[in-house]
Amino acid sequence: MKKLLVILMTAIMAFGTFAMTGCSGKKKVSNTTEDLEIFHWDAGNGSVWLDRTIAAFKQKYPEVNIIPRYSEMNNTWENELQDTNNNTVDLYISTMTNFLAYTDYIEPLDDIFNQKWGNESKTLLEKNDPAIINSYRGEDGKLYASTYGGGVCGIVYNKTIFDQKGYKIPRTTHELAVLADDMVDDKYTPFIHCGNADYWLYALMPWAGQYGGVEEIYNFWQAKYVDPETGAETQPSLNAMKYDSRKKALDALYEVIAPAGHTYSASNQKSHTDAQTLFLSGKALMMPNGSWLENEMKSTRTNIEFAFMKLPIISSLGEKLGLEDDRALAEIVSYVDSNDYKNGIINDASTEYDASEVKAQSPDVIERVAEARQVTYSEAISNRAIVPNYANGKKWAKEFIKFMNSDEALLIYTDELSVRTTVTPTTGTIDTSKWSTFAKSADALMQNASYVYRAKSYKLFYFSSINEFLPYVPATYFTATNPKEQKTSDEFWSLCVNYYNDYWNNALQVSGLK
Amino acid sequence: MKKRLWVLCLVSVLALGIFCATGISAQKAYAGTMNAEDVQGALNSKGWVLDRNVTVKSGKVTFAKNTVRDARFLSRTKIYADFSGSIYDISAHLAVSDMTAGKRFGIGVGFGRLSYVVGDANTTFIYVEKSGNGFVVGVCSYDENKKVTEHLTQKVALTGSEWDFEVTGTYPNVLKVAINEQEIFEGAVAAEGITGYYGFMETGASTDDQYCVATVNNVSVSNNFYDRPENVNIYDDFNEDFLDTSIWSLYNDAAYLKGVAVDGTQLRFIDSNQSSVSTQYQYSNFELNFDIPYIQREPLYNQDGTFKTAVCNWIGFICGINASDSTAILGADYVISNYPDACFLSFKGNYDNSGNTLGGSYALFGPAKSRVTYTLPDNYDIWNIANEDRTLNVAFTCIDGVYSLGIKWDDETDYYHVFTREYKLNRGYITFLGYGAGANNNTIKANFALDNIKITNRDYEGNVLTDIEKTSGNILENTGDYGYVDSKLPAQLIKDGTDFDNLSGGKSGCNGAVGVGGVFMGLFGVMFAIKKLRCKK
Repeated sequence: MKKLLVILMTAIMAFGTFAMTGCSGKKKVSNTTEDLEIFHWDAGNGSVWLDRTIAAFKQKYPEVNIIPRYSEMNNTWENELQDTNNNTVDLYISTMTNFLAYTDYIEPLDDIFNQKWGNESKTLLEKNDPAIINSYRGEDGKLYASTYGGGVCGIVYNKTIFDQKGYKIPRTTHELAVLADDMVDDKYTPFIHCGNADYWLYALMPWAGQYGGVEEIYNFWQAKYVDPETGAETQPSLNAMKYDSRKKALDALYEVIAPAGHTYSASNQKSHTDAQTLFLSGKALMMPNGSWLENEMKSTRTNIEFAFMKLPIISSLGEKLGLEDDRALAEIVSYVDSNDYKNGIINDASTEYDASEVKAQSPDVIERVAEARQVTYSEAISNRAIVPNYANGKKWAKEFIKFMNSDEALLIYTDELSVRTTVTPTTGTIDTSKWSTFAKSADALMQNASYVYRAKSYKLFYFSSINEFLPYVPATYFTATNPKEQKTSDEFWSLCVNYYNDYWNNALQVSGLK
Repeated sequence: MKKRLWVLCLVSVLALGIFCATGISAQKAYAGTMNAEDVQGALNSKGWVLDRNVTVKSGKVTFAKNTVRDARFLSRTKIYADFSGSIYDISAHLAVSDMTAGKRFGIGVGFGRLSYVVGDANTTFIYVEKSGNGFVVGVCSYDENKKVTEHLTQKVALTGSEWDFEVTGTYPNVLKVAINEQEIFEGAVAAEGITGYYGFMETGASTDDQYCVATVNNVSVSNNFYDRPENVNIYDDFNEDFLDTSIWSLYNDAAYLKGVAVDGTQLRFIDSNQSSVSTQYQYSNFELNFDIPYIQREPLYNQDGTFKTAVCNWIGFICGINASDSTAILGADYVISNYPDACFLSFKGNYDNSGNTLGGSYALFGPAKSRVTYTLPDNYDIWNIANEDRTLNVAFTCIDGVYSLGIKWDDETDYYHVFTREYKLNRGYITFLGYGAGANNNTIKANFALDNIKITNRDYEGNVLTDIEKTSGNILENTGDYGYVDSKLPAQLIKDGTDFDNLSGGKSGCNGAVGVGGVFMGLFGVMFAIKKLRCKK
């Protein structure tokens, strides 16, 4: 009897599973002008914030029929978007890296961005970060997307062990490398990363921005080269791929992660969730990551307290500024982090910094370090909302985007995920007192941040194979377990330069730039 | 001969007459070299700490005028000592082309941490400094309170501006220094002042007025020590429903019920593509015994008669991987591409495209570059169906870089000696693997079982831990007894033709549903099997 029961249950389970899953492909949904079908990539930040946003929107507009479609896959949108006959999605909320290649199918949003939500004092355009907005404009100058997320990326550290061992947060990349040496001596593994995504980009791009200036990062994304001697601009320019700042950032990364024992040996084979699990279990003390980490890993039990560190300043900036050594740079970093800097004084009795070292430098040098100190990476630019221009429900989709930019919706996002967006609310303050250590540390990075983004608004970057900050993932070469696959920073840079030289003309052609 | 397990890591000099690093191993002498190009142009190499403007080019280390205070070129490899007698010998050619008074340049030893500079606790410095128009040499060491002792009451005058240095360390803290083959010092220094990190360095500030321009080349270092990783002796008969995670680490294929699992009697690799089980501890010299009680020796067919999977692909283990959860990536010709120096053993059958055995079994062994195939005699054609009811006993030893393999059937008394080979020894985790033909190939998988795995530390005066507490991962709760009497195990169910995939509706044409259905069915199958096992007990 029991055996029969087992077989019956098994058959029901299998059939039920089959029936629930159904054939691959999208089920038919209602597709009227009063239906709003939303596709959302259900990634690290989850979808609860969107559920709450939808619920709040429904309270205002009960007449709209909202059909959410959440997916862990984010690679279907390109085909769907071009399928004008069958696609029923009215609003895509996902990364959609090269969306500007498909502006023929996307609704411009300039009209709503010039409007205000309700009684708010600022237009959507005024509330948004210009760097993000500008990267969402197509060749025709029209705005084709809205951002929806926020948060920052950088280096997360195991605060529990740092506190126990008395490890100080490093101020420069050289101090970071020396700290890693100390950790090796203490039998810890300093770093872990994942092999399926280039999370070290969250430090590399800011380091390049610290060295060459944020403007140079955006010039890179425009393939624009500015001659340091004459100031002459060339666009598109192969030289823009070879800015010295990019090489300096690679040198810094190499110094930090490549030495023996600095990186968890199996890092290159780990998925991001596996690497995060190992990090949260204490297998390594630092990991490049983003503010989604806490939400994404909330099911992982850990007794470890973790937090973002303020990204160390690239040590080669000190040489560029003519400082005597790394210690001099580190002291200036301590000074610009202090309240004395904010108050415009240098205190000889300070215990936070060496006043004599600071006084020895010109105000220009100090300001340059202070600027570099704020350079922060954010993926906010990659969190995009777009509307198909043929969508039956585009009226509601655009209204929903307006709402997503409202103070009310921003508060929902912030409340749910304990992270601010890059859209500035017009009123109100956010109570962060109950946020976790991690969330607070991410929030601290966002204060006065000077963001660098993957701003792929130049068509070279969305039409050609030159579509990323670097053509290869440096960490996988710097930490390869097979000595034959290892590359030094110089060797890796040569690989990149050869790639640019080889593909440049082709990239210009396929992008319509030649 | 049972070798005395001291280690001599003799480091050779590169062809360009450059420098090298120590090698560390628990084996006999071997030459470990470091390619100077590895550090050229890089701020910091994998093997050395280079402070700012200390560079390496064409095998020559150069300290430029504008380095940093106490600039170093410090090896990331520690000098170890755990026995009486000679510990190390460092020789190098040092040349000073320009130096101001107050600066010192030389060889430092006894650095307890990579961040240390001369003057930190227990550091010892053999240095040259300006004296009039010439140079003198001195030896100083710093005790644990950083109190300095100058060991030469009268510094020795040097001729010229370049010299051959030889520094010898003898247990416990005796240092001997010779310059141009003439001994200038022998005596005790700080208690731990001769082991730890070593390198070449200058002291003092580096400014326009204070500098040292110097080079180092022809570096040769040998370190005699014994590397004994801390580990445990293991015996596991897998007679529990869980894997003891205090001694094992598991890497499973990303598919439910496929990969590797303990079934309460054996360690089973089921449709494994690249699943593995690793030790939690590293081993240097060890003895390994295990049994192979089951190998899938016939191809499997679906219920409609179509081909499903070939005979078991291969069974193996690798020693010398430095991460317990590392995936060993199989490259061409069955070599581990991401750990080319690690020694890898695999047993493999001979089968055709239809998955049938053609007769003959092999053992393949060695690191990537020098892997050797050993054809096993007919009696040990372990893939032969005639041996289905026999259990293969495997005995493997790794002592001082000498690897030996013996196999026998459990009804035999003597082992058949397959090979004895010498390779470089890499301390590391011991990982058992079951490899298929790749994620996209569903017909070639590894299906076998291991049992009675025994690993014994064979280091000289080994660091064997004895107080390891057994730990377990997730365990299926016993929720009742269905009263089944069939004792078949999951792999045997598959072998007998119970095709989970087809049962779940594989011909519907809807792949997503098939996969999920299969998983649930499989899950049920394993619970089913476990119940039966428990019932049997």
